[in-house]
Amino acid sequence: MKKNGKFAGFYLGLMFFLMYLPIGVVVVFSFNESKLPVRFTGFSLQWYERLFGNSAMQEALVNSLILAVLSCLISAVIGTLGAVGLFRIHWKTKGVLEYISILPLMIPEIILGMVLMAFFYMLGLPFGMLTLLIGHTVFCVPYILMEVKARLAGMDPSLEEAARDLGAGSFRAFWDITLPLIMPAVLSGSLLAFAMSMDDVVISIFVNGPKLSTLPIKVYTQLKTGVTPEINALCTIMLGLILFILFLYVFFGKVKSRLFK
Amino acid sequence: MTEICLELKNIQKSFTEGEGVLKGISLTIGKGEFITLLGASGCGKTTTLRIIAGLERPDAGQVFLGGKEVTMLEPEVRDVNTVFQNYALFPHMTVAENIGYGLKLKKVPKNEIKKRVTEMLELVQLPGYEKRRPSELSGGQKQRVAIARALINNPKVLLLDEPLGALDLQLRRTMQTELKRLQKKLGITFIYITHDQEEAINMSDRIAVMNQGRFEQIGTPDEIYNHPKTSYVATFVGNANILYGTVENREGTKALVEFGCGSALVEMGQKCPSPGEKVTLAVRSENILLDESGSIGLEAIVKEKSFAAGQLRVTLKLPGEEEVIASRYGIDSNVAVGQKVCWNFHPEAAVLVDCKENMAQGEAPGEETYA
Repeated sequence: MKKNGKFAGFYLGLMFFLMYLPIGVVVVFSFNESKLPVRFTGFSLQWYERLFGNSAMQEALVNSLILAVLSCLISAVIGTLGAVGLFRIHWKTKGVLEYISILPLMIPEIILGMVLMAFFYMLGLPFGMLTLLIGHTVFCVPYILMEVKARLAGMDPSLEEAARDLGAGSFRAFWDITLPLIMPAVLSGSLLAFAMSMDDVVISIFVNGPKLSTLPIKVYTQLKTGVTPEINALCTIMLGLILFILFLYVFFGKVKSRLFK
Repeated sequence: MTEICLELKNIQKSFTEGEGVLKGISLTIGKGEFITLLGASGCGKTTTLRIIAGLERPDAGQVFLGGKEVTMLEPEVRDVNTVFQNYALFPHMTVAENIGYGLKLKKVPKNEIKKRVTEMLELVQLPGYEKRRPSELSGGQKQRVAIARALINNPKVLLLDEPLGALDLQLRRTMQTELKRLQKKLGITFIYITHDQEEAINMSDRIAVMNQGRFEQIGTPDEIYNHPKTSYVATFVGNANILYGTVENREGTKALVEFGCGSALVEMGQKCPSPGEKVTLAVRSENILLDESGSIGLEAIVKEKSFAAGQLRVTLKLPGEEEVIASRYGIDSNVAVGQKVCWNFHPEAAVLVDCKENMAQGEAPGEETYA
């Protein structure tokens, strides 16, 4: 370990540098005065001003937030119930069921998007917020399910039994004991799902309506017409938001580990 | 006969087909009794407890609590509380919330809960611990909280699943005395599970020795220790030597038994077998008398010497490959490994075990009486 210390440190530094350099560049140039992303001519907030003056962009942001919050809430309920259910059953097919339930994470997004589009078309659902919501919920559920499942597996099953023994019905025991104990996992899974929903392009493109646009789609379509530093500003804001969510995720993880040490 | 508190009738349970965990057990427990289910791990004692608590349903048989059948009732409606092996304290609640949980479910007013929690904490000698979290407690303290949480509901029966298993020896002894004190004071029926025979003998009014899903013997600690009915009970509880022999001769209630390495006189009591019968005898190691000069008694060769818990243990090898352990206090023994010695025991020290009568009684449900 000691022998490789210097090289390992150098390698690690290089890797992080290469990974985060482009992000750093975007952040720096979002504050650039000049429109050309080659030279930093001076600090300015003009691109942020322009971004906030852009009503289409704002609308897309609102859409994205509504979508992320709603799909997060719905998948939190579905994912938690699913994990608890999977934990309680002792069928022979349990392993298969568990794989099926996290399959949306492993299927390539483009396939999932196409399949969802074809499915909604078949059902005759109007493409818009509803289809987006269903699509996002599909890939958000597994994040929460996996987190909660891991938490449940580490939980002492005699806790719920103790509650039953003390006079709680099975629902009351779940509500009083199991739910508070898995809550940190539900929250951290939801935050992860929120981050995933916030920046999803592929599935959203397939299932969004003609009138509706989410923020990532808006950015993507704008790129085609030419990059303005406005996009840099937008990226910086989204980056900040995602970092904040990740911070919360880690924070809840900390709370979780402190509660159950 | 005191009032009957709990009755198990021919309980059967298996988790995998063909492998019975409980093979039809019956037990009657009186009010205020301290009864211990004693057995090695996997003998079905925890399953028995879970069936009484309602956490498991028997495949066949019935459970009666205070005269009413509760076999199929949910755990929350049974007047029974459990102290779990790993305490199972709710980690997200304070000590007071843990203890008061049962009363909160019964919708007891908050002030009343607070008062009774304080009382319970005093009873288990943890006054002032209301605001602590379970993670801030030591093993012994957690144990006390778990007991308080169960007892506050004033159950008809308290079930304790190896509650002292995780504690160190000294704390275990203190807790044994304290549990016994609590039980005497409150007059609640305790059903206690352990694999530690010392603990069982120390605390119980009666002991039920379990082996492979059956009761081997149910009786007072004195009966179990001094008058074991089966070789399993004799070895598990009394660490006894099991000797197989044939009756050669009979004189009144005494019989001369041939062991293959000599014969010895055994006091058989009323059930004295006739000559020619094969018998199994249990003799505890402290009752085996060693004759180092090797002149009188049964022959053997010293195989091993060890010293443990203040006792010198000498393992003797009999001519027929069987082994007998003799123990005595102190280390003043001149025997050497490999030496030829003689051994003997008083006629009264041997107990006849595994006879058909005894076995039949052990298996037939509902026949045992209790004090």
